[in-house]
Amino acid sequence: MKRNDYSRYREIKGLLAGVLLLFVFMSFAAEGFFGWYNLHNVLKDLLILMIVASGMTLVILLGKIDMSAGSVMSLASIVTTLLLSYGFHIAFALLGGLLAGAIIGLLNGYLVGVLNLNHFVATFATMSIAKGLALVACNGDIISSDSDILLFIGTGKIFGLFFIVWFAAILLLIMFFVSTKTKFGYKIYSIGGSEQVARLSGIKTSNVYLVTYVIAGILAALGGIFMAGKANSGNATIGDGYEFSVIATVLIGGTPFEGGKGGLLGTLIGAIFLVILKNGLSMLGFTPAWQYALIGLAILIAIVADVSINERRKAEEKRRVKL
Amino acid sequence: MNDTILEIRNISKSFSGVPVLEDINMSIKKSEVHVIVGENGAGKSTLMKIISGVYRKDKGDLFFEGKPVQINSVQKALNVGIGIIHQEFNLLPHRSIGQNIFLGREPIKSNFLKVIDHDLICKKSKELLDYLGLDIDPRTLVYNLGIAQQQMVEVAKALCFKSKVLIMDEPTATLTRKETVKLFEIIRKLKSEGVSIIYISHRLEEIKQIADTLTVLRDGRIVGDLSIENASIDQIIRMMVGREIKDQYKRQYHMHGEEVLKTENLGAKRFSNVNINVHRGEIVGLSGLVGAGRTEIAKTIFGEDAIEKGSVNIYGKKYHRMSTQKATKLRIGLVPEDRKEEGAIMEMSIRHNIVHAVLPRLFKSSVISKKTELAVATKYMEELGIKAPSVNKLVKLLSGGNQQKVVIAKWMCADCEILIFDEPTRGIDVGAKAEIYGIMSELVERGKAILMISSDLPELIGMCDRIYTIKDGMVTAEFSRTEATQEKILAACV
Repeated sequence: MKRNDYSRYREIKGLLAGVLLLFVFMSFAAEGFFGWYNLHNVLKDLLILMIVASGMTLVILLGKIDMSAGSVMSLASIVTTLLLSYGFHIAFALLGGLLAGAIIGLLNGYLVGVLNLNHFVATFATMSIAKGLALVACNGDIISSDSDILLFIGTGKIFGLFFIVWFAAILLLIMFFVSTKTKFGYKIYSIGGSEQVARLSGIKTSNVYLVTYVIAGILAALGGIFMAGKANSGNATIGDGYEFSVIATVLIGGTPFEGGKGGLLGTLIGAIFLVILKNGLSMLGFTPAWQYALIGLAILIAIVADVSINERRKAEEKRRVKL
Repeated sequence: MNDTILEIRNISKSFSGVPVLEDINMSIKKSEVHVIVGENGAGKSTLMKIISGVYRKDKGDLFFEGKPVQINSVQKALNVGIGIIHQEFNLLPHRSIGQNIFLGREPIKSNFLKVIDHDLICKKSKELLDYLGLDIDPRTLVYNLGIAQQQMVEVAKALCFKSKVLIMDEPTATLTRKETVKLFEIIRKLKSEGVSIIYISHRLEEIKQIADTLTVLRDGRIVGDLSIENASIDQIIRMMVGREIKDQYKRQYHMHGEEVLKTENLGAKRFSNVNINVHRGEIVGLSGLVGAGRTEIAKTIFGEDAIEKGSVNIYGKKYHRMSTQKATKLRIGLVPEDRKEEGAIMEMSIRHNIVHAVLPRLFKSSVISKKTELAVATKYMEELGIKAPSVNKLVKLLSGGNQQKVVIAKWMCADCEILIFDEPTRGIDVGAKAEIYGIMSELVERGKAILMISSDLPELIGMCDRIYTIKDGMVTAEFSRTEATQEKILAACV
């Protein structure tokens, strides 16, 4: 592969080394970390995170953000379990959950891409709307489900691996293909690089925003459904603060807020890093409160490293290219 | 001499090897209005930026009131007594007039707590505004002010520094006639109190009213100092343009093809009633001063700005509404004035920049073939002579000329039939300019139609079959290739 391509393999290499180091460290330091049972469960958390983060990656590649991801997860879990409790068929229940995500995504895309509202403010508002709707719908209660299929989605296994492993593998391959090899993916990178140039090149930017936010909404809803499946119940606080983890994953994975560069491969490694760190820290006896602080530190380190690598490369390139 | 306040000796400056100013000598007398004229790109603004400390000179000396001074920052220039009002104002829109005037040197009540003395700011600002004949509360926020009033705030800012030399860069470019008269009154008032004004302008008819002395710059050199009594406008124009047209424009002229672009009474925000047309095999020029509405016309045809009145006819079909998507589908391409913001995506590869506008045409399905992409990008890179080690190089690492070629490659790749070039050679060195001219000639040879905007008159005359002149958003004249002279065009623009 050529360098300077969309995924920045050189930086990812550094991150990959960090992940391996962390993995080896945790394997020795944290008792119970290195074992099939734990790792298999870590993988499940990783993939839920990754499903939501792959949507967020597209949004951040556009130079935007989606603050509503966590709330959409909650909303989707509530909608799905509530529909089940009303006696709807599981297929409709799942569809309803995804539709809820798509609707919030469409709203985000409309506010940002068509009305040109500030993306942070707009999705901040829809975050509250989605969370509010979820709370209203369930009246603040946990909605339990007796669906075997929902339980299977969350915890069932096929050939010894969780269902989500097979599902996410296919989904992520599709997402990777879409983002790097299709016209749609190209347009995302163009708009993130410079919205002005993209528009003056005849790209219909509003459509790209709409579709990307809808994809992000659906993927967040999927994440919420998997979460609901894990406990076989819906909960309006299931996704609380989840957008923080998702955005952190994308940033650590090397897709900057300005957009236009980075990509899903980086996000995947960022997700591995974050999940190992979280799980390892709790194995080491750190409380969730400490985990928050340490993850913040990890984001800072990743960004500082990214900046310094970039600076060095810039200087190098300037020296080499004298045209 | 005693009455010289600022003396400029042997100043030279070049940007990345391209000389912009060569050996400039000038002296500004006390309480005079010294006008500097020259075409766009003659070096006026650069010279002013050196005097006011924005740029550093390569060579030469400055003397202020007879003493040599080193001006290496804006702060230093202000302390010496040289203030500048840039074409674009440096005001904080959401702060008050007073806060803007005293920005960065707010008076404080006591040294201990460093509390800002707002009453003093208010009082002093009010005095300054009164002096300038402006009846506004100094607590008004700047974004509530009109352009002329904002300019007065800039003047007040400079006065507050007790500037003895005040530089004004195209101060009337955005003013109405009435506001201009007012500005001139204030300039005369300042002059009568011993302030020297260096005044840069394009508008020759104004100069007669306000100037005491006049310096003409051309291609970074001074071509003449005149006292205003014995200078005629004709003479000034001759001095401004006086260079002969070199043989860098290799145009061949043929019979034109059919008309592909036509505007009918086109009107939008900054222009109205524009009727122009372009045929296949023809380069049509738009000439006019900065701000006359040329770029707006181009952007409206391309669908970036909305059409308010009239229509655009493409290949004989009438369109009352346009969008950039529609325009690109109709095979219109725009090479914008601002290459870095609007032309190419700086942080991306040459390859991506060349293909991203033409995805629908290049690939039938929604999947992209890297092989095709690479082949197409390589083809245009070679065809246009883009100098870079590979198609994967980021565009920001290329020279201006090569960046421009990437933008042109994008539209050639899109197989555009109508191309709009907005200042295609701005900020590009001489060698690359000739290459761009070559590409444009080649395109019309192939039967494409080109609409070209340029402030460089020799370039426009050398390249175009016909030239329209634009002034204040209106077409004022049309010249054929054989009629066009720099003098005639300039006279129709100012």
